[in-house]
Amino acid sequence: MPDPEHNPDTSIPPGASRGASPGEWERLVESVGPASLLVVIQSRLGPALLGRIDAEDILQESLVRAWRGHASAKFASPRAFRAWVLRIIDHRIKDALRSSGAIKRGGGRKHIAPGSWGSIATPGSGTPSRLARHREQAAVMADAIERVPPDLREVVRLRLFHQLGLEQIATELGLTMTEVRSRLRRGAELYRRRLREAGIGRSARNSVGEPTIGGPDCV
Amino acid sequence: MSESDQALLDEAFDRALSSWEDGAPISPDKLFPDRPDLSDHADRLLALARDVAVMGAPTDPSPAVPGYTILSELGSGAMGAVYLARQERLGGRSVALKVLPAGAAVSARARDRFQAEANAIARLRHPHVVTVHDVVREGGVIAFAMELVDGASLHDVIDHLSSIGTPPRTEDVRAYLGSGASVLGEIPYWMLVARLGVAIARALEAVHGAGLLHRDVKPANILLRRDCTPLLSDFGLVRDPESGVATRAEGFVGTPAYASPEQLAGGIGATDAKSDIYSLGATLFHALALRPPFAGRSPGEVTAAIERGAVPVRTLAPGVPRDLETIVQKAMSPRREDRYASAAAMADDLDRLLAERPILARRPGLLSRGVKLLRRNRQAFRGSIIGALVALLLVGAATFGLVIAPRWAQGARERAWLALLDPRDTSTFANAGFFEYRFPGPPKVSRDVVSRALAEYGKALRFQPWDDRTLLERDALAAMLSLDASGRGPIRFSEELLRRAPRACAWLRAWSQIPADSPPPPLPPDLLASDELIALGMMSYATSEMLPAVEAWQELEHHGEPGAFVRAGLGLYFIYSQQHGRAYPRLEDADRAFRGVSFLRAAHAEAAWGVGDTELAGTLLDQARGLESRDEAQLMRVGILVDLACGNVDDGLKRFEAWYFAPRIGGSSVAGFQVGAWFEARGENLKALCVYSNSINNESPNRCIRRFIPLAEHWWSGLSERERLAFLEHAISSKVRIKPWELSRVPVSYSGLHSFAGIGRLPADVAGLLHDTEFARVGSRLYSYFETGNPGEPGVPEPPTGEALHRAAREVLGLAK
Repeated sequence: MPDPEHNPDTSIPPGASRGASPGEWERLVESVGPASLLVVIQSRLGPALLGRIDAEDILQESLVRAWRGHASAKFASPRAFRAWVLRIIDHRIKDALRSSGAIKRGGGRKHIAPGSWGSIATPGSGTPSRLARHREQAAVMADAIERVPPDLREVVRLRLFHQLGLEQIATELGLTMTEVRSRLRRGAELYRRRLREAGIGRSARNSVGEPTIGGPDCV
Repeated sequence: MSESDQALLDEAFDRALSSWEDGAPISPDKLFPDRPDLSDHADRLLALARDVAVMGAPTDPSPAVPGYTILSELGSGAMGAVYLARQERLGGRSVALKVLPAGAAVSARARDRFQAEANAIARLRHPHVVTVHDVVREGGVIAFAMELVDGASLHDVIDHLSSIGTPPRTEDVRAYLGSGASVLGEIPYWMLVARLGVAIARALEAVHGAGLLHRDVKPANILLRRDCTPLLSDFGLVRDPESGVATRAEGFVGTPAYASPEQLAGGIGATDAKSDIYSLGATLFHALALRPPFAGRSPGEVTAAIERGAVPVRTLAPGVPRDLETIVQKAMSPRREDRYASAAAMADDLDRLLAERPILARRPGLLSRGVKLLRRNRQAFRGSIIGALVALLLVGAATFGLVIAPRWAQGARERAWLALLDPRDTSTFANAGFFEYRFPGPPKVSRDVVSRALAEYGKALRFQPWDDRTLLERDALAAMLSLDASGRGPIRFSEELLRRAPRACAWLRAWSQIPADSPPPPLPPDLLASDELIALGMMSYATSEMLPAVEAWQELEHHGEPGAFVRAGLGLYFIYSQQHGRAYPRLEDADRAFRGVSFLRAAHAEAAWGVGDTELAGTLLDQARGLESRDEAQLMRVGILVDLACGNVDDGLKRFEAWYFAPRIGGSSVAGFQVGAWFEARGENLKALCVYSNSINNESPNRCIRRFIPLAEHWWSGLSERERLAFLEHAISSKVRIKPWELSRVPVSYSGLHSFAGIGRLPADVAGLLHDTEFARVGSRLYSYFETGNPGEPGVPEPPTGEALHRAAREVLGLAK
C-alpha cells in the first residue's frame, strides 16, 4: 500500500493509475462512504477553518489523488482503502492550510481547481447531484452523531468515522476494552435511531411505526 | 440478560461491524457459534452494523431478479430490501419487489421466514390483502412482486393526524393521501376507521381461512391506497402451521403495543386467530384515539399496562360512538374467550354499526359481570357462605394483627430509638461529628438510656415477636449491658445475635479488650450483610464509636433499608460535622417519620438553614419550640443562626453574647464556631478571632483551631511594634478571663496550641498550621499575668500601672532583658 505519510501525491507516477473502470471506481468510492469523509474533514478543519477552506474541495482533491494512485496499490478491503483515503485527506488539509497561510501572505500554492478534473474524469467525484446528496447526508450524519450522548459519542465517532481500532480508542479515551465495546454498541443504536429520525435510515419501513420485536427488521 | 451475555453481544457487534467494513459481511450463524440461544440476536446485530457502517460492501443497486428491472430502493429491512421495479413480461407494470438476494447476510431462520412470507402471501387472494403478482426463486434469489400501493400506511396517516393537533377529520386523511374529494364523501372520521376495520377484518378472515396467522397486525402494516382502500401487508411474521416455520417456541414475536396478552406471553401454540383479532382491535383503538392503547416498548412493559387495563376509547376521543368503543373493547378483551369468535364476526358487527343496526357485542354490565363471576366459580360460591362466617372472625383478628399491633409495635420502637437519639441524654453525635474525635473509654451512652431503649424494644416485640430487625437491634443493644461501667468485662451475646451477626459480635468483643486510649478495632472487611450492619451500627453507636456506626449506617442506606433511626442518626451526625447538604434529606425523612419531636425538628431547621432555606428554617424552628423533647441549647443556637441569617443581627448577637460569654455557661462550642464563621464571612475577622479564641479556651474543637491559627497569625503580623506594645499593656492591665469581643487572650490561646502540638495533642494537619514561634512565646509570657485571678479577688495583686506596665509589656514582647 502506498504510504501517504511520504507524499502520496507524488509517489505515484502520472498515468500509473488507470486500473478501475468508471463503474468500478464509482462503487469503490461509494463503499467508503463519501458523506462520512466529509464529516471527518469538517471535524478536522473545525469551525474556525471551515469558513476559509471548503471541505468539499478537500474531498474532491483527495479523491482525485486517490484515483490516480489506487491502481498501483493493493487494498485488502474497503476499510484499508478508506484508511488510505483518510491519510490523503490529512495531507490535503495540511496543504490547504499552508496555501491558506501563504495566500494571506500574498502567495501560495495553487490547488487543483474543479475545472481541471475534466481530463482526469474521476468518476464518483464530480456530479453536482451526487455532491449535493453527499453534502446532505454529511449534514444529517454530523447532526445525528452530535445528538448521541457525549459519553458514547466519542467512541462511535472514532470507530465509525475516524476508523480507529478499539484498542486505540481505549487508549485515547482511557477506557477498558469492555467499556469501549459496550459504548460502541449502545452508541451505534442511538446513532442509528437519530439517522432514522432524520429519514436517512436504510430501512424506510423502520423509520416509522413501532419496532417489531423478533421480526426481520428488529434490532 | 446477564452481563456476560451483554459483553458477548458487544463483542459480536464489533465483529459484525468490521465484517461490513471489510466488504464481506459475516454469516449470522457464525456470530455465536457456541451460543445457539443468542442466535436470535445475530440478524439484529448485523442489521445494526450495516446501518451504521459508513462503508461496506458496495451494494448492487440492482440485484438481478429475472424478469424485473429494478428502478430504485423503496426501503430495506434486516433481510432484503423492497425495490420499485418494472415487471418486464406484463407490459412493464410497476411493482414493489421484495428481494432477498443470494448470499444476503441473514440467518437460515430469517431466510425461512422470508420464504414463508412469500409462500403465504402468494396463496392469498383478497381485495384487502396486498396482492402478490409473482414469486421468483432462482439462483438463490427469493423475491416476490407485490402491488405498488400509491398511498401511505395507516401509521403515517395517524402520525399526520396527530401532528395537526385537532380532532381527526376524514378530509384531513383525504388531503394527506391526495384523494379526490369524491372518494369518501362527508363521513365522520370514526366511520372511516370502522370501514377500515371491516376491510381488514375481512382480510384476516381470508388469512385465517388459508390456515395462516398474520401475527403483526398494526397500523404500519395496513397500507391505504389513494382512494383509501385499506390493504393488509407485511406477512414477515406469518405463521404457517403446515410448513412448520415459526411454530417452535421462540419467545415473543410481533409489536408489543398491539400484541395480545397470550402473544406477549409467548410459547408453543400461544397464538391463534383471536390474537390477530386483538391486534386489529388495538390498531382501531390507535386510529380512533391517535395513540396506542398501551404504552411500552417491551413485552414486559405492555403486559404490565394490559394488567392495569386500557383507557376507554371515548375518554380520549369523545366523538366515537359507544357501540364502536364496545366493539374495540370486545376485540381487545384480555381473555381470548371474551373476544369475537372470528374475524368474520368482528367484521359483521362493524357492518351492523355502520348500517345503524344493533351490534351483537355487549358492554358487560355490573350485574352480568357478577353473574358471570358466580357461574365461573359456582363451587367457590357455595363455600363462600361458610367462608364468610369464618372470615368475619378472622377479620377481627387480622385487624388487630395487621393494623393495631403493628401500630403499637411501631410506637414502642420509635420510643426506643428516640431514647437513643435524644441529645439531652447523649452527646455522641456532637462529639463525633463536631469535635472530630472519639472519646475512648467507657460508653457515653449511659446504661439508663440503654435500659430505657431495651424496655421499649421489649414492648415492640410483644406485639410483633417475629420482627427480625427489632430482635436484632434489641439483642445488639442488650449485649452492651453485659459490659461493666468502664466498658470491660466478658460480653454475653444472645445465640440469635451470634448466628445472625457473628462478625459484628467479634468486633464488639475486640473493642472491649483494647486499652481505653487505643484506636477502635478495624471494621471487618466486606461487611455487607444487612444483619451484620444493623448489629454493628447499634453496637458501635452504643459504645460511642460513632465513625464505625456512620460507616455501617451508610452501607445500610446503600442497601435501601436504613429505617428512621439510621436516617435520624446519620442526619444528626452530618449536622454536627457541618455537612448540611447531606444532613438535610435525612433529617427531613426522620422528622417526618417521628412526627413532631422537638430536637429532630430543630435539627431539620438547622439543616434547612445550612442549605440556605432560611424561611423554612424559621418556620421549622418555631414549630420545634412548641414540641416535646426540647433541647434548649440547640433551640438557642439554631435560633441565633436563623436570626443572623434573617437580618436580625442585633437581636441575634445580643442573645449570642449573653449566652456564649456568660460565666459558667459558655454557650456551646458549636455556636462559637458557627458564629465565628459568620463573622469571617462578613470580613469581621477580629470578632471571629475573639469567638474562636473563647471556643478554644473551652473545648478546643479542631474546626475552630483550623480557622483561628491563620487569622491570629495574620492579625499579629500586621501589628507594628508600637501597636503590639499598646495591645499588651491593655491585655496586662485588663486581666480578665472572659469578656465579650476581647482580643487579650488571643496570644495565650495561640501559645496554648503550640504547647498542645508539642505534646502531640493536636492532629498533624492542625499542628502543621502553626508557624509563628515568637508569637507563641509572647502568648506564653502573657499567660502568667492571666492565671493569677481577676483584680480585686483575695490574693490577686493589682495590675502594674505607668512605667511598670510599660516595662511588663516590653518584657512580654521580649524587648526587655
